[in-house]
Amino acid sequence: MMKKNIATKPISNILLLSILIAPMTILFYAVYIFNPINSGNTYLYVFQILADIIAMTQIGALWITILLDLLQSDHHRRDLPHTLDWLKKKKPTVDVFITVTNEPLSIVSHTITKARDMDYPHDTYVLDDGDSQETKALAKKLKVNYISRPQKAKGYAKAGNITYGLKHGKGEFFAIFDADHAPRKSFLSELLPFFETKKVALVQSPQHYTNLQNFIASGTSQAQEIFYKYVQPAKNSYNAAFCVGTNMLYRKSSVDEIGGIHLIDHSEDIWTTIRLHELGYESVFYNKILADGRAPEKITSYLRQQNRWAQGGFSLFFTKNPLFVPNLTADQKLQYLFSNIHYFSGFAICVYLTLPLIYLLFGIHSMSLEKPVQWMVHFIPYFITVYFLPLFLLGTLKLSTISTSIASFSSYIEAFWATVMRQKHKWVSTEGTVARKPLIMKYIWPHVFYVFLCFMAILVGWYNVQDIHTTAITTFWVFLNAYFLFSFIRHGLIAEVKN
Amino acid sequence: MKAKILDLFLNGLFLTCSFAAAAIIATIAITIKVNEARSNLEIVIPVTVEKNEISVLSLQSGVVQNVTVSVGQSVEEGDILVEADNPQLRARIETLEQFTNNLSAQTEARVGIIQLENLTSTAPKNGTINNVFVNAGHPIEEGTALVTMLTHDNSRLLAEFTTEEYLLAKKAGTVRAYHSRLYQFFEIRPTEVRPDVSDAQPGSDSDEKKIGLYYEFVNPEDASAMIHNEDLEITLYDTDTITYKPIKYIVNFWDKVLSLGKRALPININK
Repeated sequence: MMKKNIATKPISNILLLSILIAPMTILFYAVYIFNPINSGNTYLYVFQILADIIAMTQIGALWITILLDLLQSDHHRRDLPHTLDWLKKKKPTVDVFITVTNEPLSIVSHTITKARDMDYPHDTYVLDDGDSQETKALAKKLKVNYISRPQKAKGYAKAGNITYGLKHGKGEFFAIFDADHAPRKSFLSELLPFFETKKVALVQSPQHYTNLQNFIASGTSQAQEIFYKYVQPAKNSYNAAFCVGTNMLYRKSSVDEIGGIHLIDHSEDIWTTIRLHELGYESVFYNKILADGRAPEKITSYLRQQNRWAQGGFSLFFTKNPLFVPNLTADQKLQYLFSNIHYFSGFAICVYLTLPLIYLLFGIHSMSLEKPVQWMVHFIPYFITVYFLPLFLLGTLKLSTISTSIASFSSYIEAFWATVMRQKHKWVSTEGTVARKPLIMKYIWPHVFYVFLCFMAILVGWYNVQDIHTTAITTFWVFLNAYFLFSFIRHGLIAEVKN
Repeated sequence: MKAKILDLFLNGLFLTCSFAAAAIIATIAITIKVNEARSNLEIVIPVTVEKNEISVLSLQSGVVQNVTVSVGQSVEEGDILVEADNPQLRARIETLEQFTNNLSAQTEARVGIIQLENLTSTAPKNGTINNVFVNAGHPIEEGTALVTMLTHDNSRLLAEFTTEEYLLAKKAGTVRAYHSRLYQFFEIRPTEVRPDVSDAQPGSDSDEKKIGLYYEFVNPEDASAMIHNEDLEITLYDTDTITYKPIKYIVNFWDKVLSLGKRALPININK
């Protein structure tokens, strides 16, 4: 019987070295920054500390996840049976659901065709929440089932849509694809064998993006790469891999046991997974690309997506904090927590963007400026480790990755307030259209305002310069930040207009 | 189509508001910086009011009956200051007046009556009583100093400068002096240098000899609001030490802009 070792792939020596060095550089920086003697303006210092704590926690989480997974001895690795024999013997029945909400017809058509043509026998359903006659006609033409829930059954966005569709399905397992993620031929036959283990309730494969010629799409794609290449496989070792909303297979009986897909306006994927884990079920992440999708290309769709994900993380953090969920293993709790707190980085980014501006405009600094060399000595190794970690992990670092990562701060902060204020979330799919075309400035006004302020701050900062070195360094930071955000705005607007 | 135009308009509105917000913040920041730069360049020097002191002398000998004024009182021209009496003179006049046919006696009597009038001393000008030297019962002679007064006219102001400050002041010429009691500015112009360069006061922190420069009020009526020995402040700008020109223009520009709010107001004499 063939066992599939789904351990993480070996990583390069330089990456290993940087992972070992990381805690040292972080500690070296921490002893400087957390010492109040070195502080400048007290209010700014508090913000600096908070931002640094958030940043260090993020890096620490990534570091722990990857490192501990590396150091696990072989007998801890999960070996799961993965045979085609089981598949041939058991012949499990599969439903394939494609959720559609007004995405462009060409994309939907491509997905439906690929889903229909997967090699393992299955039933294909189109779940249309957009009530589109064209989609109905398309489904009929491509000879797949079409389901559109009636108006009175509408609610809970994608979760509700899937739940309604599940009522019509008969398979023992079901797969879900977003309208813009098209599965490859071998998707089902590669992933189904994992269900031989009775405890396995979810098998997830990575999201992979093909539209990389677009600036925003390529940026977010590379940002996701760390997650799919290193983080999710590591989580897999702890049985903490979670569903990402598309390209996965569920065991129907397990999902029925938790009462169906978790009904919530957003991020039902991670909520469903955590509830499956609570009951002791296992999740498997198989790091092979088995579906090709499209990353958001426009500013509005990207920021909306980030807002959704952030709301998922924050809602879990505040209403079902994994630390306090019983029946999860310690590893699982930690891993879920790490994923949830990722979105606090929005605040850290906001602080890091703002502090240099405040210095240029008003001359006040969070740290004491008496010995700038001291700050540089402590900061530079930390900076290299932290900011180049993605570079070490991925081999390259693109401008688009940095730009899109930084630009998401507005979405994260917005999501935080929405979660805290318990606002009802209007779910709109990544590429779907709303009744009224969204006003782009509503999404990017913070970025535009920031870029304007950057240029003015540089002018103000050089009037009557007191401390040339600090002003020069700060100007460099401000210019860099402005450049990143300006790139985001520029390329995003180009894509928006290219409509 | 209409929706597109509305969208364009709203986007433009957001854009303009973002720009405006950024501009406002930048302007506030630069204003704070400029004010700080100005205050670093400012030199504030006190200038002391010196009022003219005149003595009021008695024109006639006698004995003081009544002193109607006190130190610090402000008087107007013609107010009665001291009333004196000379009984011998009165008696003599009475006697002389009896000789109604004697012309010289009558003339002498009339002279005496005028002399009697001189027993009442009045204020020759508007001013403030600074010293009172007599009281009731005090014998006085012709030429005895009765009171001293500080008069408004011929008031001047004295400022003490170091050599560099003196050069700046000379260049500045007519300046505005700020009076903290009256919350106003008054224009003063330099007149003459104090003849004797005084030695540094004992206890001052530099051995530099100070140059004294006298100023006068551009508007002489301003003096009546002043109290002797009061201090006003003049602000000089050390613009010469600025190494690059743009600051000078910005400083002068902001000085003019901000002075619009602190213009000298007409003085209300009625106290």
